[in-house]
Amino acid sequence: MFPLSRPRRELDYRLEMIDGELLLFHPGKTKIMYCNQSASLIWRLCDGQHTVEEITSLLGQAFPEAADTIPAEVEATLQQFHEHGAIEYIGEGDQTDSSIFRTPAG
Amino acid sequence: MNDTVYRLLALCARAQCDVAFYQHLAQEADRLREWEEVPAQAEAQGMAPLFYAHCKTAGIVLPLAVKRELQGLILRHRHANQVRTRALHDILSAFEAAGIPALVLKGAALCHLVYPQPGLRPMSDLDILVPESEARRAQRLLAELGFNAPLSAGPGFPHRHLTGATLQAEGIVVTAEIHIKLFGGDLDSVLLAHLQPLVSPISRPIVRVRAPMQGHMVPGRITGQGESWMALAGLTVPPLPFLSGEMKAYTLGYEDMLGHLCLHLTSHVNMVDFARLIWVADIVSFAERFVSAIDWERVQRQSPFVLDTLSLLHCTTPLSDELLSLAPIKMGPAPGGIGVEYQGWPQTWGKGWRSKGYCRVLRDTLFPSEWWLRMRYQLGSTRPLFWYRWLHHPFYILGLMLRELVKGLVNSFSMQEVLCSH
Repeated sequence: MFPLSRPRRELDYRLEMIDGELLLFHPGKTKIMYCNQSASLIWRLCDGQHTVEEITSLLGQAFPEAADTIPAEVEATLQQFHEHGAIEYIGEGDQTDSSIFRTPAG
Repeated sequence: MNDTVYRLLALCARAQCDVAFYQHLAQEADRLREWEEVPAQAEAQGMAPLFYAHCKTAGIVLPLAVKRELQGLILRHRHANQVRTRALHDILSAFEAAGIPALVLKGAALCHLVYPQPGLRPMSDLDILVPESEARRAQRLLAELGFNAPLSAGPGFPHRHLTGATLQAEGIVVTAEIHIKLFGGDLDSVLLAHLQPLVSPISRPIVRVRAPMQGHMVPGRITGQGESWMALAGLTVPPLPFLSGEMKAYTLGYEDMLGHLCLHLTSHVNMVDFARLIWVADIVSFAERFVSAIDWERVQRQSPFVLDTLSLLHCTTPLSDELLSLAPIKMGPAPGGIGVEYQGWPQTWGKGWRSKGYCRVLRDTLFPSEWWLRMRYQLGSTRPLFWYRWLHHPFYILGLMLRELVKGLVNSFSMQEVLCSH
């Protein structure tokens, strides 16, 4: 996953709430994925317009107290979405390269 | 299926419950030790949303993995129902514009009529009844709406409904079936015609011929509604209006609906299929919801098998006091093997014979559970079982086996002829 690649939701995947929990599912598939609040925000930003870098930045603005952990959380969440088949990457590269993504130490 | 799991699911086979029921449900849930198979069994029975809703109301704490699996199923069914409902509205609008009277059958109507939320009633397809003379036009309209709607070339229709029309929409396949009659002839009536001379007559017929309901012209207009209906095969009372979302639609009248649902349920109690608990929920919920509106004398006169079916369903999920007091349901002792489906031939065949044991398969074939026999042959909980246990069912099995044997011989002769000609 390159910072400038743009994740885009795959067709027919839906994020819905049931009993206070958010679930990501596809109507024709059995696997489901539970999402917390930040994951649901990331999902909504996977519109094919926002880059990974932009998504990270936006979440950082929304949750300034968690600025240190957000990059890793965005990476992990996008990876889960991708493994689930719920997103595809368009734009620059489609390989996961976590070393590009980690915040520098210090 | 685990007996406790079945009992738990069976208890939930109703749309509405009272406090006493929820206490009973909680007690049954306490007895269950292994929950892993519950989501899969609930789904197989069409009960996942209803089961989850009742457990939540009863305050039952489900194991996390089970809860999450059920939640996933519920969301998928909820979404699928919404998609199917939108497709149904398009179909009904098109039919109305074309002047084709149509009744919505089964789940697509019941989810709005008797369930607190439509999503509690999973649907697999849309069943729509139209006059036979309009069936081809209806199927062509489905094609115009984007459905893949096959239409046979020849005159007439061999079955009670046309081949299902399918449409891919929002991640699911929507199937719409155009019905031309509520029930067609089935194997029973064909086989009985051959077996009847072999069976000695008694004061009450040994075999109960399940003839389709006699239809007649539904005259004129529905009172106050402004529509006129052509003859719809199988109707004996005027259709019932209901709201599907914001859209007004029509379904079978009370007594016809009960008859149709009961026949549908028992038609699936056979050697290769099973009666899903969601259909039990349909019948019980409908009967209880409209208990005061249903003409029970008419039901007793016209379709007594409804009362027989209800008396058996009471053993599955207890009927309400109101229903028991208003409907002339005769209650007998609970039959043995409630919920135990047929496990003999031809469901068990080939390797299954060897692994299960020939004697066991033979026993299951000739002597299925009492509950199954009573459901299958519409005996209720009070009618004598003897003739069906010892004569009708064994002869029926023999007839099926002979039929399969003859079919096999005919096929092998035909194959030999083909080989010889080459």
